[in-house]
Amino acid sequence: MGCLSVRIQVVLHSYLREKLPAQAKGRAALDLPEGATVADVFHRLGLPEQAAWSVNGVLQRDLSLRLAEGDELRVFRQGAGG
Amino acid sequence: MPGSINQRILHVDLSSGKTWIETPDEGFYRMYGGGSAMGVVYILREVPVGADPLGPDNVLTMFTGVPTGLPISGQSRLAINCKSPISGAIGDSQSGGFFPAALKAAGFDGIVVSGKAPEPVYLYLHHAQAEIRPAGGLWGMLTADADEAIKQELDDPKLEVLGIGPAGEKLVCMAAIMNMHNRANGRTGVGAVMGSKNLKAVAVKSTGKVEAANRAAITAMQRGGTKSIDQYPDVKGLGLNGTADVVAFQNSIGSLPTRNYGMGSFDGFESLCGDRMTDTILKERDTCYSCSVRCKRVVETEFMGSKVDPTYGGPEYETIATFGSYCLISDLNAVALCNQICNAYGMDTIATGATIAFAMECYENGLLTQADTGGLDLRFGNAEAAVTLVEQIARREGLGDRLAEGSARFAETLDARALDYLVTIKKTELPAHMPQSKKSLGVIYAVNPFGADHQSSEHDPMYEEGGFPHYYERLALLGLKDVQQPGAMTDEKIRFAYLGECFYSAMDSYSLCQFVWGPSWQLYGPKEMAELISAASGWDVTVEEILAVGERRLNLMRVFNAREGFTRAEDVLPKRFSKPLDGTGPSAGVAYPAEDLERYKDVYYRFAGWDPKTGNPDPARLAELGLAWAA
Repeated sequence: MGCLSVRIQVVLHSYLREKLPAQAKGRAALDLPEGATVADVFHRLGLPEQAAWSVNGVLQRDLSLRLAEGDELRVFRQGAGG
Repeated sequence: MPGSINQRILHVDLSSGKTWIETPDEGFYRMYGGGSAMGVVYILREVPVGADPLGPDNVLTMFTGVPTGLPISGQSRLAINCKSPISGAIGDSQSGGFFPAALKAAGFDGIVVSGKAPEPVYLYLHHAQAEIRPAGGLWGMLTADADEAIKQELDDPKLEVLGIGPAGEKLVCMAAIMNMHNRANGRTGVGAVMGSKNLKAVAVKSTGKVEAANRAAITAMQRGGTKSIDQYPDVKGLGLNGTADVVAFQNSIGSLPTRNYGMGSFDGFESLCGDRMTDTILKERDTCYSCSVRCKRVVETEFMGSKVDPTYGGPEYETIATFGSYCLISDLNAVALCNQICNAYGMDTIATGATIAFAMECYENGLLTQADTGGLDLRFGNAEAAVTLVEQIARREGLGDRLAEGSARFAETLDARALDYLVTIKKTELPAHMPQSKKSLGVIYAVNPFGADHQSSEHDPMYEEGGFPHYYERLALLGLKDVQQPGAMTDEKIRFAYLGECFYSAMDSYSLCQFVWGPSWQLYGPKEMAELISAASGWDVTVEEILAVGERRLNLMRVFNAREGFTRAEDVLPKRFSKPLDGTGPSAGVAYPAEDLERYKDVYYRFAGWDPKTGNPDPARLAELGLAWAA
């Protein structure tokens, strides 16, 4: 990872919102080192690997995906019910 | 009397005004479990072949299950069955609330209603007795008003009341039967059948207590389950944000029906999410009798100057999808008002919202004009028009009178191009999980005896890699040990769908909530379910016995359909599924070709032991299941 940073938006749904302060209502801007991956964000926020997630609206599965400036990472309860 | 069953079934002949109590032996309960399976037994016995679903020959059954009324989560459920006025096939619908537990505590396991009352009536059940009382003064009342009026008449505010609203009285095809005026036995037109019998309501006074063969075991299971909710993320999500907790995930995988099932993702999904509801219009979380999960919503808001009254609860995921994404409406307040109108008049929100979405697509393609709509601009996204149309359907006014027949019959009155936009199976509108995204669910939609249903099997993602360990540990108990790649559609996936369907079918027989009990993600798994039925009844029940109960129900339903003329030819998906989906998202461009489904059905019928030519049950298999009487 380099020393430059990128800013991304994180949107957490369902019970995963509890990983951020309540007043954030599941949303936060995160500054990450350049080259940071989705796995880095999962580790930082304590998200379970079983969660589903998308970057800029596209569902992905490879946690080693690198994030870029302005990306929106959205994390969901992968589930059924309803 | 063993354990938690009363061994008392109430029969009501509304034509003669007679009631009597049947006292089946214990083996009858062990064979069928109660609920929907037991209801279908009576429908097969008593409904003549070819009977008019809205005539006095139809039979309406209301059944609890073996564990109903015990102090544990997810047991207060009621199955209602009849011949469906929508499809002509078997009808089936489930609900929760407090009524099911109260019915059991009043001394009844179920009710079998036949005939037709000469004038409107309601039933009053208490102390294991039944009264038929006049309901002329209640006819025309909204569900909450009728509920209150009955409590006042009987001077008992603690009564549990189940009944129909004006939609059921007017024989609206998608009419529901409501309890607590916010819990719906919504699907397959059961409310219209109740209305056709001039039966407005059933009021129950909970005058006894349901006992378990092993009460200590039930108590321990309830304590353990309540403490462990946080360990089951899917259950925790339901409690936090209601069933609408899945909106975002459904949208992300391209399984959120949008623009009348023409697309799988909705740009406006965010404002419809369960967590958005929690942050905005949620007033409180609600629950059913003795349930710790608390997935029910109560909302308070307004739209078009109309208050949304908390007494009518709040919208479920299905309601949010049908009135929201199906219709391209992203205003949660509008959806909440549509939900309220449906609950007040007593209508199925799935069928009502889906029928309006179908009408919108017909309007946009010139098959309906403003002359047909009475001036309503029925373009997709017009929330005010949708609200107006819900009321028109409920009152059978204007275009609503035509739509009240359901989208399949309505389509028959339009140009043949309407069939390109029609989204029904066995004339029943589809719920909000898309087969283009969940392929094995598509097979279940097609073969399910009462039309497409999202609560009749486990969904594909639960048997695909990437889930929590408990999904796979539990599915292994059903013999499912070959977890599939995401998106795979294999014979093993169809076996998963079939075995999952048998398990869900058993839950609809024992009358258990599928958000609490189930084969994978729920609070309690198959092992615990066997323990529950054993502790309730005193029998030594295994997972294999549970699956057999579920298989019996499915076979009985298919026997009913077969005698009504249904075959493999009716086990099909909507015509539009053969064309690729529009829009964006992971399911854009994806189709579900009819020839693919035919291959899948061959595999499914083999697992089910049904005739591959007709799709109907095999007499030898029926005999093995103890159902030779039904062959």
